[in-house]
Amino acid sequence: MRIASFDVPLAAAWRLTDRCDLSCRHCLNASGPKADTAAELSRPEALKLARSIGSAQVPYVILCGGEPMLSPDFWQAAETLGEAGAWLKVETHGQNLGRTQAERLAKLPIRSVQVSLDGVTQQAYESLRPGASLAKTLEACREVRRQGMPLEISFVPVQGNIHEAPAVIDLALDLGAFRFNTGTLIKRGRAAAAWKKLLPDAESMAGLLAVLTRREATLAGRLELCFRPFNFEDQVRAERAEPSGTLTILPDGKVPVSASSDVVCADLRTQTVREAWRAYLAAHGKGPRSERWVGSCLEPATRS
Amino acid sequence: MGYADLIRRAWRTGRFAASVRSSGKKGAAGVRPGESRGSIRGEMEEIVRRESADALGFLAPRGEGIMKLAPFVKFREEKFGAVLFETRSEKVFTLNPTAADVVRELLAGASEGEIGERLKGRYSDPSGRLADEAKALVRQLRDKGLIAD
Repeated sequence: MRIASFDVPLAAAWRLTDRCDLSCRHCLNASGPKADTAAELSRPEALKLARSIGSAQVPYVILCGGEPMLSPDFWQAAETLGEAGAWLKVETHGQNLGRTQAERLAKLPIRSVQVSLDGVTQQAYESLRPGASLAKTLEACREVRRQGMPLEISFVPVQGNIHEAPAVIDLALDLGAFRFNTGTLIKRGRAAAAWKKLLPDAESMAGLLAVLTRREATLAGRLELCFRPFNFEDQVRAERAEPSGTLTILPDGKVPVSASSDVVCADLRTQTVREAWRAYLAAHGKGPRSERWVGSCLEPATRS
Repeated sequence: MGYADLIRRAWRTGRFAASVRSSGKKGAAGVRPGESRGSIRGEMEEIVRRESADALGFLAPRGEGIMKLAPFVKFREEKFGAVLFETRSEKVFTLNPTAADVVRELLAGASEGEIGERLKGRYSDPSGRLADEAKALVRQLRDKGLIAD
């Protein structure tokens, strides 16, 4: 069954905002305190979109950013989507996820909370996330579990933390996560600007891939290691063969042809979810736009 | 009225607030001086037994193969039939129109054994295998963790 057979997307990854209180060196969206948020959806527009996603019966919505929980529309959008029956995933750095927020989240149909955990030492963690506290992130993970919500960990390997990857896997297990997500760094946003300082050498990446492959079997049933396709180029090629069933929505309501592309194929300010989905599928057909899409993914523009 | 009588009356009437007047002059808690703790406990245990029996009676129909979607699974109608999306593993299972009907019946409260009968009104069944095939599909859905009792 082809993705194109579906009337509407299977999932939506809604980048609610580029607002963030951190300026992570490896951020592929160049989010941060100085991010330009002027063009982002207004609250009425965001709530209208949440209702539209709900009425289209999109079963699964990923709320991401930036730091989605810093969006002034986060709670209302999440509650609107939840009331419409969507399962929600929240991707957060965890710096502002205390008991109060976790208790409120736990009242929603949360499929999972994904916390970025870039190391097991404050030194490695802070080298990527200046000013951030590893202790706060760990407490956020524990609070998610205390409230009975499924926890995912995401880990981006760079020069400053790749050696801690095996320890992060162990920590994810200890924290009660059900999934550990990782893959190669993507050359976009702020990561592109610091590319040479961030990109691990080939030997280190091969070592990480070997660790993941080896531990995948030993951790089966306890912690899912999610790392395929490992290389960004492989991911792009897979998406070229078959588009993802997930519609990505940018903070201004525009829909790119893939999660990591700047090429826009629809605008949810003026189009319905169904129309945007059709435009998204059409963008993956043969033609100049498709070639432009692949090109933009493999050689992405630097935005910072 | 003693404590045991009060509990019994409350059980019969559904009213659980005791008025001061009903306790009369038999002590602040309305318990007869000679009434032993053992007899009160006996009454309480009897109430618990009755409540348990009632609860089992209420739950029994749901215990006989009534199924629902497993946690994190969503069902959605499509042009080609329907889709079951297991959002946790992000696995998608497409259903043809007949399979979609089976899931619809499950969600409407049909037990595994009832689905075949319900579908017979909608599909011709010359081979007589409709009910067995519906049961086989239900087993597959259960094995894949898409539905749960």
